[in-house]
Amino acid sequence: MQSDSMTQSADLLIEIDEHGARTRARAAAGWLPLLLAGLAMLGAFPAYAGWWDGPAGGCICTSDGAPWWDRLGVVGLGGGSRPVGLYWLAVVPVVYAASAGWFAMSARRTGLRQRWGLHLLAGLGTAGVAVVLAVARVAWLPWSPGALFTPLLALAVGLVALGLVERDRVVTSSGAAVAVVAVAVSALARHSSHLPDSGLGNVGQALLAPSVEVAGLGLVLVGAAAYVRSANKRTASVTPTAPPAVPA
Amino acid sequence: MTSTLHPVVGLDDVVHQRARLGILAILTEVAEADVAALKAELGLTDGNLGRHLQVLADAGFVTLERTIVGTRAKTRVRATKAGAKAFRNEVKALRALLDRVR
Repeated sequence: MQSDSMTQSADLLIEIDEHGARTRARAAAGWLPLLLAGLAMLGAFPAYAGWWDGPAGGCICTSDGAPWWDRLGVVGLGGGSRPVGLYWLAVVPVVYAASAGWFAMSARRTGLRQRWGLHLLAGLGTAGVAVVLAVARVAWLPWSPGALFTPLLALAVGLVALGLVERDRVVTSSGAAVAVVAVAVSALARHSSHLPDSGLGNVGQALLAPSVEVAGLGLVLVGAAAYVRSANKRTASVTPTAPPAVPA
Repeated sequence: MTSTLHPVVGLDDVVHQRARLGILAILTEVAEADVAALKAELGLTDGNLGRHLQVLADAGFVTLERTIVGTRAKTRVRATKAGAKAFRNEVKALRALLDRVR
């Protein structure tokens, strides 16, 4: 009798674990934010390379003759007089808006809603801090931690939060890797003037775009692999057929 | 003192039922789930699932929110803090029970 009871308990624990794993697999939606963050990083290339000169429609210039978006360079991701800051400030809300739409769609499709609000809150919160510090830096402070809190860090923090929410180590570690890149890029942008000049230009400035692009490409590949893994897990999940007894 | 108690003391009558344990196992993984998703995962009928959910709701372990989406009524279920705690305690008690005889 005791042996039967133990077997039942062991079976129950296995069943609980299986329900949990299947639910996590069905609710997992982290691959798209990974892909979007990677595409946002790849999309920064025209701004870094100078292929994009900023918004069209003529120069709305400040009193010193610089375009209005020039001061957005203070977001801390380099680019000098190029519209890199403008790109990052515009792309981060777009990424989070697309993610929010995706989560809503995913919840409707699966009937399962994850705690995605934490991902949006963490990412947009970091982006908000980045903007406030950038404004403070221009308006009042000659230096502030604005260079650490960058829009790229906002993408990284959001991914780490998403990975923790979905208990997905790939998403968490990808977010951590982007955070390292974000800190390195902001350090390069801040200290590039102390680095040697190669003859073709400043080494620090020259490293900014490749760092962002290589990391972006990596993220796109990881996102695509996460999609395949997630699709396979969903296909492999087997729903139990025997309905448990009605309660006494 | 508690360490000398038999693990079976830790089992909760409301939670210690296969379908209800399954419902809580799903709900502790996500913020909320539709009744249709629970039904599909657990392989229960509407009536059976409804009865289990009512038992859990009466015990304060889940909340039920009925909404109208388009022309269809939808019920969203989420585990309360007490429900998540009861689930964790139940799993702990089951593991302790197994450890005792191994």
